[in-house]
Order: sequence, then C-alpha cells, then structure tokens
Amino acid sequence: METFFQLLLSGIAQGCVYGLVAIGFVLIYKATEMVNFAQGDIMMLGAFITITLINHLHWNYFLAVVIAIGVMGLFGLALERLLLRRMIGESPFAVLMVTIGIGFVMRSVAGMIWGHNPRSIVTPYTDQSFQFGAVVLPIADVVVIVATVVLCSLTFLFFRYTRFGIAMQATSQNQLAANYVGISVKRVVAASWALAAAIATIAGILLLPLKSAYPEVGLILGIKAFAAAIVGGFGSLPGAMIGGLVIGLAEVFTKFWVDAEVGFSVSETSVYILLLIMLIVRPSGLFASLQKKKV
Amino acid sequence: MAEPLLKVQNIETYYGLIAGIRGVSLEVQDGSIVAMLGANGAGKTTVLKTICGAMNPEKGSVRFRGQDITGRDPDRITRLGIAHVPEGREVFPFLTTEDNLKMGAFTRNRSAVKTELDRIFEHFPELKEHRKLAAGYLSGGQQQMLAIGRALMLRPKLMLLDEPSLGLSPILVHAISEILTTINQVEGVTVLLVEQNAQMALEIAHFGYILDNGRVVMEDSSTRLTQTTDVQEFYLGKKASGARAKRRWKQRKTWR
Repeated sequence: METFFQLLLSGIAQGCVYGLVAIGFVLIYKATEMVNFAQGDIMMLGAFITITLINHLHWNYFLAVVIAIGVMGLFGLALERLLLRRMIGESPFAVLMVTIGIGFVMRSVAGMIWGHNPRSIVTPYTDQSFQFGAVVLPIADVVVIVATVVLCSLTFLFFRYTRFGIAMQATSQNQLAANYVGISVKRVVAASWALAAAIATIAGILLLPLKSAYPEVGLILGIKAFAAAIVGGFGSLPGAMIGGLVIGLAEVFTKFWVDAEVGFSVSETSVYILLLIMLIVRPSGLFASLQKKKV
Repeated sequence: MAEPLLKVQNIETYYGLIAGIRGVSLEVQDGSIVAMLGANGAGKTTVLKTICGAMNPEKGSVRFRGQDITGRDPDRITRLGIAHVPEGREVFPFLTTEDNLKMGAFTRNRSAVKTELDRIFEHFPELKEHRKLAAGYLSGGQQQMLAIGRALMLRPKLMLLDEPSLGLSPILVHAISEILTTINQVEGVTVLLVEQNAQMALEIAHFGYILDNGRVVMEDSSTRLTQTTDVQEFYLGKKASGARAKRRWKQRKTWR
C-alpha cells in the first residue's frame, strides 16, 4: 500500500511536467493552428539556463528561476517574431518543418555549449522528504505538484477574467471577428509564444530535481507531452493537463509493475501504447473541443 | 461641401489574380445611412473588407475623416472608430454574450465598458436575458443582434454592416432596420449598409450605390433609386404594368 502511494505521487509529479509542456503545445495551437514541435526543446533550454545561473554563476535559486523564466519568455517572443511570423500563410506542413528544424538547431547548440553529459542542480529542497506514516514523500515531487496547481490556477484566472486573456480566447475562436473588434492578432500570437515558452521553462525547472537535463531531454519529453496533449484532446488546456497526468501515471506504474515481470522496459513505450489505444477508441481525446469548434 | 466622413477612391482589390472590385469610388456623408446593393459576386463584401483593412487594394485610396487609411491593419482602423459587422454574424461562440460585447470595447477605456453595456442591453433586451450564456447557443437572430451590439460597444463614428438581414425572418429584418434607424438618428452613427434585401435597405437609407460586376453602375438618393425602372425590376421585383404584364426576362439592364 505504501508503494502504491509512493508511485501515485511520483506519477503525478512526472505527469505534471508532461502536462505543463503539453499546455504549451495547446496554447500555440489554439492561437495559430500550428503545432510547435520545438516545445520540448524550449523546456530543455530553459532548464540549461537555470543550471548555468545556479551552478556556474552561483545565483540564488529563486532569483535564477525568475530570470530564467523571463529570458525564455523573451526567447519565445523572438522565435515568433523572427521565424514564425514569416510563415503566416504558408502551408501547415511547412510551418511544422520549421518548428522541427528549430528543435534540431536548439539541441545541437545546447550540446555545443553545455556538452552531452546529464546535469542537474542542487535546489533548496534536494534530497529532503516528509515522512508520512510509512510513506516517504520526496519534497521535490510535492513541489512539482504544488507549483503546477498554482500555475494552472493562475492560467485559468488569466484566461477567464483578464481582458487580454479573454481576447486571446476570442482570437482562437474567431480570428476574423477578433481583428474586426480591434484585437491585434499579431500581439495575441506573440503573447501565446511567450507564455508557452515561459510555462515550458517552469516545467524544465521543476523537472531538474527529478531527472537530469541533457540536450536530447526535450525531444523525448516533448514527444511524450505531445502524446499527452492528444490524449487530452488537442485544443483543450485542462485536457492537456489531465492527459499529462494519465501518461505520467501510466509510465510510473508500468515501470514498477510490468517491467520487472517481463524483464524489459515496457514503461518507455507505455505512453505510445496509450496514445494508440486513445486514437482508436476516442480519437478526439478526453476533452474533445474540435467537434464543437464551429457552432 | 466639406470632406465626407468616408471617401473611397477608385479602389481595385484582387483575390489572387481575380478582380473582386475594379475601380469603386463612393462617399459616405457624416450622419447618413448609405446602402450598397448588388447581386451575388458584385463585390459588395470586398468593398467593406477593403475599407476596414482586412484586404489591401492594389490601387486607389480609402480616406476616413480626411486621413488616408489605405492598407492599414484592421485593428488600427477599428481604433479610429470604424466598426464592422461581418457577414454571417461571426460571434465568439464559446464566450458568454456579455464577454462578446465587452470584446467590442476592447480598444476602449475600461471605465466606458459598464455604461456601454447598459446602453446595448437597452437596445437589445433579449441579449440581457442571455448575458451569461455562451454566444454559440443563441439563435441566429440573437447572434445578429449580438454582432451589431458588439460593434456598437465601440461607439463608432462609422458602422459597416454586411448583410445584417441574412437568414432572418421578416419580423427580425424589420426589427433590425428599426434599430439601425434609431442608432443613426439618436446616436448619430453613420452607416454603410450592404444588403441583398434592397427593399429594406432603400427604405432606411438616404443614399444608395448599385454595384455590378465590381463596378458602381448607379448612384443616387434612395428615393430616386426606388423609382428607377431598372431597380424596381431587378432588385425590388416589381412587374412592368401594361397590356403585356409580364417581366422583361430578356431585357438587359440599361447600364450593360
């Protein structure tokens, strides 16, 4: 029973990271109808910047986190302004290839700068844990979960109550009409990229104490997060988060229960098995929003 | 005469290689209602899209209050006080009625929103009943009211309306024409109205343009347009009276 709770907690923590990256996918998709396959790599870059600030420049943890999020937000803005804005009106496939290309460039540049050895950081809460009866709660897991809950609530409040948040929703529902009421669609798209990059960075920072970072981490994690977004029903923010949790839990539980039994790693493929089942059984995802897109 | 509120000079707009309009000029005087009539494909919608900045003309210019606004982005043109009610309503389906209206005042001062909202609900009490309902669940007529209300939230100088009567029952068409008259007379909003329903449009308009095949073929006060034989036959559907009281199916329009 203790093991079950232990696994549950670590699965949820892992799922939160997937969910946050998946939210980035959905944000950009909703604003621009394109899929950004460099989302995971943006997370990787955010993680590496944090590592540099803390390990090499010896900054305070919290200051480093804030600066890293800000820098990566600007990085998202710059990507949109310099590369993606030129792709407006091109075929979706061309845009897709551009984002895949951006991912390749980011991975190799990160490899040149930081090398290919896995790195991590020492956080104020590394190796600390609560003892809760027989269950040991690593604080790193708890921090991930709490931070995700806070971040999701803030995102929800932003989209539900602020004027610009509602304008972003309006733009994703009807771009033409948004333009006619005076919303600058360009600005909304830029904001979506900045927000997606900032959230991916937070995911990267939260991931660091759980797993170490290396240049390819974004590719592997990005694909899993993409699967999470599809399981949740591409186009739904809560769906992306739920999809992330489902996939994180599936991975952790198969790792513990199945891998040892069969003698090889099923957990790494469990995500894709789940994705396939989902696409066959309920192709529109758990929270389908596409079928009600046009009323 | 002083410079008109809106002055469109000789605009030509293309869809790729195909000309949507080939040299349209029109003027809208401050405080008037101007109707633009024409068959399908005459280029009416394209004229509106060119004025509001959704499409850029190859040639010609659009001037608003003496200022050249040709080819500016639509959001910047909206800020100048031109509201556009697009064809087919185009509400934000998942936002509530109230949020839809608030978006209409996106470019305006926050403090204005509350009073504007009350003003719109006075014009359209039905919208007030459904203020918390997602706009996608409103009926077609209510959505059209919402689209007009959203445009009014801007407190526009000029309102461009693209076929507000499309797909509505005669009662609703009448209601909408009354609302347009009211906002024109009471609030001094200038209106440029594109319509297939020529009867309704000429009834409320002061001046009218008739477009055919991307060009303006007639322009006159609406009273005189209504009396023209061509307009009566081709747009108002009246039959020629006389010994052989049948339609001149084969007769061509005089401007062709």
